[in-house]
Amino acid sequence: MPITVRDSQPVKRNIASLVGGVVIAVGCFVLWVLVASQLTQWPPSPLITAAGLAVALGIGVWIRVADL
Amino acid sequence: MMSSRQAAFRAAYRAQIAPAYHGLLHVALIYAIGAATIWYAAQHIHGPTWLEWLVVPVSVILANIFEWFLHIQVMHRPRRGFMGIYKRHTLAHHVFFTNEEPFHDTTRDYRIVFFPPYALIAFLVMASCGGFVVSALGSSNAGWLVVCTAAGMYMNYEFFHWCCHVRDDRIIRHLPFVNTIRRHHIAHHDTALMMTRNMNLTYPFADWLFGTSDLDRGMLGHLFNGYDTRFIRREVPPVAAE
Repeated sequence: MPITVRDSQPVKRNIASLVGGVVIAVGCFVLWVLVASQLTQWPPSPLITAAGLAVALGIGVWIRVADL
Repeated sequence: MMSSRQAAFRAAYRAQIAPAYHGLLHVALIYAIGAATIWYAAQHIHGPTWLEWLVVPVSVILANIFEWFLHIQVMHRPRRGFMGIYKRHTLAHHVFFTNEEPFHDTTRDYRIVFFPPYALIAFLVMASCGGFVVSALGSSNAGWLVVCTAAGMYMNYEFFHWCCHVRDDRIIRHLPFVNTIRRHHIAHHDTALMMTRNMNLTYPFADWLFGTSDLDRGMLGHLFNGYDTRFIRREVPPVAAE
């Protein structure tokens, strides 16, 4: 396997982190809604849902930026 | 002792880890998702019968065999559609960690120790499908127990794998199961064994069952072997992995 040592930070991110970021964001949002519905009511309030959306988006973006 | 090839690979790999990556955040995300899943599933279990509880050991055994199958047939075999997994595991993880130097140095190395979090999501979706089938067969409790067990096994897998690659073993060398899998997995990182032997990462049950262990002893001996090297096969014959 060829190895290239870079002096600077990576420019190109792996496509897997893009797919992974989307999958994680969707998964986290679904889990957030399910847990929130268990703790409060079904469906969760718009505020809780919006918070879940923000958290899920944040995690998804981090996965992409961290190229994880 | 670390070879120059391994040292060069580690330097190259670390140089390509994105600055935004944080190992502890990676681990926290995995365990938060796993814990939330277990909690949510557990809320739906009400007074399970002993028969329903039986799905837990059955699920543990099936997860153990699945872990073995995935490792030997996907992570160590170039399969169309799964090349990313093969490259990440055989061509990266096994070069970064060898049986001569199997330990990580910093939390940034967690990127190559732990699976990416979307693997957990994929596993939970599969487990949920299994739970749905079990539930449809007549027991909602059993279905939710399948989900709980699967999520627990995934976190078990990640924790045990981390224990295999952590340098300081003052505590874990005394922990049953953990010391067993640590020796088992470090031996697997020997390039002579890695394609065919010691494929379990939690409990070496499937390796014992399918004869892919480097040990020559019974099931209980496998599970509680610890660091014992007396039962290692003198000659490890090649295994037909196909």
